Amino acid sequence: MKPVLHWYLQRVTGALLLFLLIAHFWVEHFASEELLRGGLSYEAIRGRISQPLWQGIDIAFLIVALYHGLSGVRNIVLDYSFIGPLAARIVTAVLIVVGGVWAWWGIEAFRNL
Amino acid sequence: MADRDLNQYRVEVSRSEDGISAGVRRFVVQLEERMTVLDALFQIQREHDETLSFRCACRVGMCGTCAMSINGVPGLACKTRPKELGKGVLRLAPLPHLPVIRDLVVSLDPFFKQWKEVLPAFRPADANAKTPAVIPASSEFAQAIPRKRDCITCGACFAACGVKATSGEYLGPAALNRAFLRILDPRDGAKKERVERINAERSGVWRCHTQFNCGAVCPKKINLTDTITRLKRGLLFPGRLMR
Repeated sequence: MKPVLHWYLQRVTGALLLFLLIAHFWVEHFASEELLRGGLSYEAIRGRISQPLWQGIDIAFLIVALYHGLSGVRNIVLDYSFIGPLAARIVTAVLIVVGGVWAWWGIEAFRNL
Repeated sequence: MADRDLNQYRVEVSRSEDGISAGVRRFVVQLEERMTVLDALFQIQREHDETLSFRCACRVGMCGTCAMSINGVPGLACKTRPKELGKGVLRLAPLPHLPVIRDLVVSLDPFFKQWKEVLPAFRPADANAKTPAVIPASSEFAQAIPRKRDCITCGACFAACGVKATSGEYLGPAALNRAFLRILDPRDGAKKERVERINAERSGVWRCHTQFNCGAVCPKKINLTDTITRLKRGLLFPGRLMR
């Protein structure tokens, strides 16, 4: 991918994370009816994330966070000259694999609800 | 001397020879209110230690030769007044991220190596033109960037840049500012080559993390972070380089 697109996506995902993180914390910790009534349980959480809308939001959150975080790690790696071009390519490949596995793992969790 | 208002300063100077540190030497100097760090260095050289090495030329902030680390911040010795630093102690060291030749003298070779990378010299679009390529003062190019032309290649931005601390490949703020000026120049004939160089992932604009250190230390008050951000934006939306 062109460096300009990495840079742009880093900013776009950063802006999306701001919104998604606030929404996540608000829904999970402050606005949950079950939490407010003292009845938070696995069933209550499963009930919410069984809905396609919440699944879409959570999967988007997962992918956005993974891209932003792993792209940030790659950026840090590229800042260090002692990490040569070959090592940087290997790190990039490892990060892509890690991101893919993590994304698959997270999305897979919704399958058995 | 007796009737002048003198302030006493302790000056701590990092000494070295052939790249090997010789520790810090301390001197006491008496300076008038409007005297500069460069005046302090001359006083040390004259009255305490004639072997102290430092560079200077114009003494009025035009040449950039006397750039050094002053109390941990890169700046020009001839433009910095100890009185304004508000301390009785001056800690002077060579510019960081550059090889030290002796005491406060550094080699600017790494700086100019990156400078040359962006093809700093003007390359006319029409090399056979018989008439000079005039830029009217009212043109967008002439009006958009007056301050950004003021770079004196002192290396202060290069030394202050956090990314330069780890990346030898990064072009650095001054070279990118030069590339910006050339790319904006409507007479320029080497835009494509320059854009390729500033767009390189490991050495170009993408290494800048918008820390603002470069602009903060620039003795000519050039907003270098703005320059680099404009270049990034221009690479994404080519029509928006000017804005």
